[in-house]
Amino acid sequence: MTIDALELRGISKSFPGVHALADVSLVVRPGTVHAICGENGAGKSTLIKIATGAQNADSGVIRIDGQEIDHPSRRVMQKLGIRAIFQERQIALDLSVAENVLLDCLPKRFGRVDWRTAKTLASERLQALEIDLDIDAPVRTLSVAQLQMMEIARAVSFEARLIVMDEPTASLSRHELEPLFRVIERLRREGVAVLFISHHLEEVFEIADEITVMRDGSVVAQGLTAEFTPASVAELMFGRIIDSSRVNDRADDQAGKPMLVLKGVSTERLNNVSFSVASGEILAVTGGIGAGVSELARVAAGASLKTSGEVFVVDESRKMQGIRSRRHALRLGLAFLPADRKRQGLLLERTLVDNVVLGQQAVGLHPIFTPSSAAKLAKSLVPAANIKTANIDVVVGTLSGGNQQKAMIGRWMGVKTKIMIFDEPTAGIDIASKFEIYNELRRLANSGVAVLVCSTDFQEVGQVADRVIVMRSGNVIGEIDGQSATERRLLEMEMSK
Amino acid sequence: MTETPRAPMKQRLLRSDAVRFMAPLVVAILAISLYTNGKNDNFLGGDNLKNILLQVSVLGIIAIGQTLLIAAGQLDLSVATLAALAGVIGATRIKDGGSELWAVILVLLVCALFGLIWGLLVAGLRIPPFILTLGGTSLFASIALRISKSSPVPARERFEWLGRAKLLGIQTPIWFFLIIVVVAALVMRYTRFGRHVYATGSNEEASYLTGIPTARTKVLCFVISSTLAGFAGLVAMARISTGDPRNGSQLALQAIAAVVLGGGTLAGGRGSPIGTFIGVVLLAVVQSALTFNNVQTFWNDAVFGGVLIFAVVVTAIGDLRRRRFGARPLLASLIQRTSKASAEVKT
Repeated sequence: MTIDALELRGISKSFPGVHALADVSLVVRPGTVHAICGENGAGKSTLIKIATGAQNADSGVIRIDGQEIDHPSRRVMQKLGIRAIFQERQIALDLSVAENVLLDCLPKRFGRVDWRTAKTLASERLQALEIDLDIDAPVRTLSVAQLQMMEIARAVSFEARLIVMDEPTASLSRHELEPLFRVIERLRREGVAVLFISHHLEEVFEIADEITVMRDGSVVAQGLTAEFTPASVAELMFGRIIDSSRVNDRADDQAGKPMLVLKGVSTERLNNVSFSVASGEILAVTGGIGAGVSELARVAAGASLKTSGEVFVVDESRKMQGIRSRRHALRLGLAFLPADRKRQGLLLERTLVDNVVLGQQAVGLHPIFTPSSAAKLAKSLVPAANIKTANIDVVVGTLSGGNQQKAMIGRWMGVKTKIMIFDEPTAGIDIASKFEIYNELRRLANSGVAVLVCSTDFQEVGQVADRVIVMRSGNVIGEIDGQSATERRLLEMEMSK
Repeated sequence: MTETPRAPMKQRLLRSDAVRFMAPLVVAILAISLYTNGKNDNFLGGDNLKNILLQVSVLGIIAIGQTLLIAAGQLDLSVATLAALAGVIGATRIKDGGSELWAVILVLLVCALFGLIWGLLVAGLRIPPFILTLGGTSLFASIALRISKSSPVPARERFEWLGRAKLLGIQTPIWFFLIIVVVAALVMRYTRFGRHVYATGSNEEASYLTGIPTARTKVLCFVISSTLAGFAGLVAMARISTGDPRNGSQLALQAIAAVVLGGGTLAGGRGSPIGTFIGVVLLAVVQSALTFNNVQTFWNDAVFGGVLIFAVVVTAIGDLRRRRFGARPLLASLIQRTSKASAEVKT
């Protein structure tokens, strides 16, 4: 009989007013990948925090290698070989790759850091995992995918027994998945256990040996991957059947008038990009990471500088207005919803009221605001954007990803917005909420807004867009209509020469 | 369409700055006052109250400017020496035979210009305001010494209306302070500019991407703060009828302390003129109480430091308790454990 790398038995945890986990049991065997599936709020994060010692359970037992742990803490669990890669990256951006890989155990000699050994060690670790990184490179210059690889290399210190990966694929594009999976495969062969948390069921089925499905803080199903299908897991996760087909199409087939026009836009990473978005349509711009999709979103919104070309907004009198700044773009009715909601979108520590009225306050329709008029506005904006909350005075940081995204949409509902640019509209949002966001996008388009979606999620693009523009390394390489934009088709376009 | 309700009044009140920051300070002010008054009932007499306010009016005016900056996530350490410089320039103009009004206008313009320069450097080149204004502190101090030739400049009993006159029995500096507090409170709470300040301080990147003129907002905050500092310097000069280049070197840090006492955080997004007012008054009441209780003066700074440290520790503990997301520092889990343990003892 093999000894389990990690065993959680009867774990319960409650926060004031919330029952986060109820009697959860879980066993992860060495050399296997165990996936935990569940929508936001199912208790995944709490479970990980308990497994890694970041939080303590109210009741239940944790065993590592058969040994019961009396006082689990982050430190104790790390010593026992439980490592975690959280969604919030734990990286010292100004240090080199080598230093980051060895962050918690730099080799010392005579009380000083032994740099030569450190470099050798770091490169050995990277090589062992077949990760191709320059150990002297400053971490600031790495891509998201490379950062993640670096974190894995750090996690696999000398005696990692179990590595927890919390949504490791959330910010990766399709071809960046493969190296990640290769590394996981290697870990598995070396007898390391992996606890894999993900929204993406395809990935789970590609990599996991066992699956635990959670809903509302309880385990609803557990077993070998072969015992499930993606559809059955989705059903278990949400307690109902999820339709993954196209979101309803445009209300009328008539193409509206162009509202946003890009002419020959170039930056350091974009090369001569031209297209236009008409009112009432959803245009998606897609491509892998490195295609410049996100940069395009920023430039089109007036938030980043361009080296040449022009972004025009068509105003009421049908004149083309070149946008000069983010604020000028806003004045012309262009709203921007960035991908990184926490850092770039929301005032996390402030209330929902403060966040949804920000659109009005930015446009400055009224020079005078009173707290009661703000509350009055918020009372109507919150249900209009379908934000599910008990009241409007909640702190936005405590809302789910889906509701946070809707808070950002709500911000623009009280303002006359003609163009909305979404960068990765559903990054980090669970499947059920994704569809609500897609429906919001469609409702916005049907109300006459020109919607530009910049997304690296091919499935998403195929589900929402009326037209799709595919990019590769800063160039537009093709355009197809939304109906025929299946994942496979987009992938082919993206890969073809 | 159905509306989403507000949170219950009680919950909103408990979370508001008024209850979290201002109420405890008011309680502290009252407690200290009553205690001291018990020993010497002149403490709560009208003369002493006016005296207390008069003592802090200069600090208070500077602190209001600092409130705007801190709410916008900025900081200006140079306001103290800028105030001294303002006093010296004002007094020098009078000495050379200029009119009072022109001296005031000139000083305010010069200070606004310095604020504009700080603002443009901070917003345009993204220079950290801490270092920039630290440099400014030395710069202003030197200029003030140069202009005054290192000795106080007599203002020849002029500027009475700025520093020594009374209106309805109350000295004009108190009036200036109170008016500035009220105007700032209204602007921060009700105007577009005020809301932009808080948004910029809460999350500058998000505010910028939303389309809020974050750069302009920051520049305006620096201009307003520097102008207020200049005005405060004129008031200080008028009170003693002398432009002293070495006057009030502690004011910048005291002003920041008052803002933090009143609920501001250096991370930005929080702080209010009313809170700052109460913070300033607390500092003054403590100071006056020490005098009334015959505590030796070398304890003044220690008490000032102690009050500040106590206030931020209490606030931090309150924040940890309320926080439901993000990393939990050691102290938070300690608190949780002790409160859990005490709950177990009770049952």
